[in-house]
Amino acid sequence: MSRRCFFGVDGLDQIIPQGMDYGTQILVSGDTGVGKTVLAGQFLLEGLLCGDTCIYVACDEPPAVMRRHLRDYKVGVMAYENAEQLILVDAYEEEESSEKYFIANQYSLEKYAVMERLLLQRFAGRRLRLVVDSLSTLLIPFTQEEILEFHRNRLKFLRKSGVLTMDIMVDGVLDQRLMTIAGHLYNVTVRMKFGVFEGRPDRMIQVGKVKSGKFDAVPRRFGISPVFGIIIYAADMEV
Amino acid sequence: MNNTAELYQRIINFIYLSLSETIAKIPFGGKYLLEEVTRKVGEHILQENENKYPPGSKRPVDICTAYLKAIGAADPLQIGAIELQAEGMDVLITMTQENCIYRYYCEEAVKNGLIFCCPRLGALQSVLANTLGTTYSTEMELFDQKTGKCKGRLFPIKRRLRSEMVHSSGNTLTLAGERAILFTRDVYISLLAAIRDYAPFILKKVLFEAGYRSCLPLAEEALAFYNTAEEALDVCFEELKNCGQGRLELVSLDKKAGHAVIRCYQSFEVDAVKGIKLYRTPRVSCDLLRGELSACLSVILGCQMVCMEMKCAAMEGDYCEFHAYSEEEEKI
Repeated sequence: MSRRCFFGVDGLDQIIPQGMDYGTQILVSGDTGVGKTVLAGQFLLEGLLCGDTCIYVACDEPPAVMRRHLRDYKVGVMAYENAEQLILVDAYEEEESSEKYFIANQYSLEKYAVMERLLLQRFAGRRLRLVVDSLSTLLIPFTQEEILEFHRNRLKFLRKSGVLTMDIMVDGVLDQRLMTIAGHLYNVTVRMKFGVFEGRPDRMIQVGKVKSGKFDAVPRRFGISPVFGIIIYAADMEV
Repeated sequence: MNNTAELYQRIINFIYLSLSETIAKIPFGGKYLLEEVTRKVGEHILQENENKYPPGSKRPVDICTAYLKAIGAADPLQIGAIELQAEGMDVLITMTQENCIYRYYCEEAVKNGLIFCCPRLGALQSVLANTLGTTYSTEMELFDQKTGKCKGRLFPIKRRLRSEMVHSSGNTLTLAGERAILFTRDVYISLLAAIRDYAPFILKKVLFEAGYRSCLPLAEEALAFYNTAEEALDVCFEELKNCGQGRLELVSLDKKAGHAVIRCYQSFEVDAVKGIKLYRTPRVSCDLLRGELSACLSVILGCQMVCMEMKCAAMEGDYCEFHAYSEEEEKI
């Protein structure tokens, strides 16, 4: 478990040259449509190539969307799913899901936490990557206290279990104060947003925090290529 | 046989044995090269006996019989020692081994698992090629001690392995008639390092695409020449092995479902990346081969296949394993 891990996006990995430990929790927050799910896809692919078992909990769309997204990048999803190296969990369709793995009745955070733990325990002993896309959707009906309590316990468990976790939060869904407090519980935070560069709309990505580690906090412009995914532009690059 | 003749016979056997041993070690060796030697020897004999050998019938078995009759007087060991039988365009040969001058070579080569081509068949192979204009190959069955005979077959070959036909001519190298170049590991690694330095995100894709595109002609040729997917894949694997990619093994193939599992032992790409920091973390590294296998499977199975490397010896274990599924199946 002493191995280091990365996002799988070259420009972003250069920002954290030392990499991350398994057991690190990453918070990715950003505007709708900015490319958070694309980042999640690349994070999963990086895990698959490194031999990790990758679990993707789809809350905002059915898992088929991630499946299609990975296939667009020429990833043979079936090989990984059949080898149980890629686990796509449906937390969207609930009881109507036709997926092998699904989480129903998300209106209890406790129940979600138990189901998530059971799923992780099923693959215990492996190097695990977990992506919840997006966690903010799951948290909508709950109070601030409930969310923070759930968060603390869940992240503690994930850290102890050595699960590399990426939680995705959509901007504007949860209260800003809650987001700030929740952000403190994560080891690494990544912010993605739309901006304007030289009068043109642009996408920006910024590493906001790496607990006990070096990082470069300068926001960087990035684009999404249909072939290569997220491409972070070098500071001196004309686009 | 006097001592001198015995000595010469031993020397001939040692020469052939040494050829088999050497060819097994040299790159682009293989059966083709050894057959070239035995065939060329046959050609010289043929040239010497050309006026004694009247090509009448066009049946391969008749051509071989005529030839053996023509040189029979000059080689008493051949008389009655060889029986020929026709099987379509193939010629089946049964030979008494008792007096065969190549017996030592034959037994030693088989015992040591070396590539073996019977020099006696080489002569017939040459005769058939010259008379019919068709390239023939040979295969031998093991010597049967009970009957004291060995069996062989001469058969027209559909195609030669391209990777066995490497020739150096003047200052150039050709592979199956096309100009070729040998890449050392240093050149290969330098190429990868240059891509990594300038555009790291394209590295794996470039390797995959290069493998895929470069293997399409080979796969198309294999498909055209062989009847079954297994045979065609086998030829592709042999070519890839000859090119240095490693030994490939088809673990399973479900043509109907469009699913295949392939293993590679001693992958070049695994060895190539050893000791260099091409990636930040250890990972599956055989993308060129993955592309090559995807092309072979897609062409030979007739549907677009997606091939993933599920295990890589660069990470652990002693082989790399690739799982392939048809894209259609993927969509379902």
